[in-house]
Amino acid sequence: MPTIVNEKLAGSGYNLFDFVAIGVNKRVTEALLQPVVGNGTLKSGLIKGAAGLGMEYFRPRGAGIINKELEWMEAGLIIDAVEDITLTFLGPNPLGTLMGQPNASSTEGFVFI
Amino acid sequence: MKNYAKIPVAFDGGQVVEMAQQYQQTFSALNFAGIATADVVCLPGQYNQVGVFTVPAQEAVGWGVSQIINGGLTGDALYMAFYNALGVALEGTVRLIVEDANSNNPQTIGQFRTERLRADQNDRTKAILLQLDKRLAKQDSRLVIKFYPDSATSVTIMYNGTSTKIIAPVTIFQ
Repeated sequence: MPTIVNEKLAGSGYNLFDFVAIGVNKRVTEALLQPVVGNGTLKSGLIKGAAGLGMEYFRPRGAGIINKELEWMEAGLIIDAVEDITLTFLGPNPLGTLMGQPNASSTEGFVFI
Repeated sequence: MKNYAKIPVAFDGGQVVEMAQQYQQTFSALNFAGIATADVVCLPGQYNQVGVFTVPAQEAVGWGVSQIINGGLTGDALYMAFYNALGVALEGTVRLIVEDANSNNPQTIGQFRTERLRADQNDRTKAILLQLDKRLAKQDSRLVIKFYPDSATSVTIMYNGTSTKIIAPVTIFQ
């Protein structure tokens, strides 16, 4: 492993490998939950957030890989929950036309003909 | 807090009107005057008007729908199939247009081949996914479908043919 992967990021307690693992976990849990609770909605965000917070209280602590995996899953769930909730309130494109696509919940760039 | 979800504003008789809400709708051939009630004869070598939707009072309408699926912004399936009296699919190029009430200033939103438009009604991996276009038709302006047939002779689109079908996602602001 290169040194950078094991480097603790200042103050976070996570190293870069943890962030990669969290990203993978987020994608997997998002896809698994999508048929059940949906995605990108307030409802799905609240359910994922509740699940993440529940894991924070109830998941076993320890150094094992299973415990680590549960920790990554929890972080992924909470990040996904925040993503869903911000999507709900800010819309898919809070930067407006800056990103190219017009936004259904914004008039940035709309033209009336 | 900054209001990110800005509301479209229409101009009605010089008065600025805030449009309170939007919703998605799927138009069929019945929404487009022309193809809704009669066969449409299309001359070769030109774009022929197949159908036209005139925006009613207090609404603004845009082609397409933007929605979030699996966290990504995407559109909704656009499907069009034109058949003649013999049940043969008509090939050509279809234009989606927004124009004002006098047919001035037509803006082409999209130009698609009929083969692609007929690909699939529901399968999102095959269909053309039409996102909401920023050019909205306000009151009395029109959404127009035009067809440029490949044929060297005139073709007729059967309006009540078993297979002639239009499924067009639009977003209504009201």
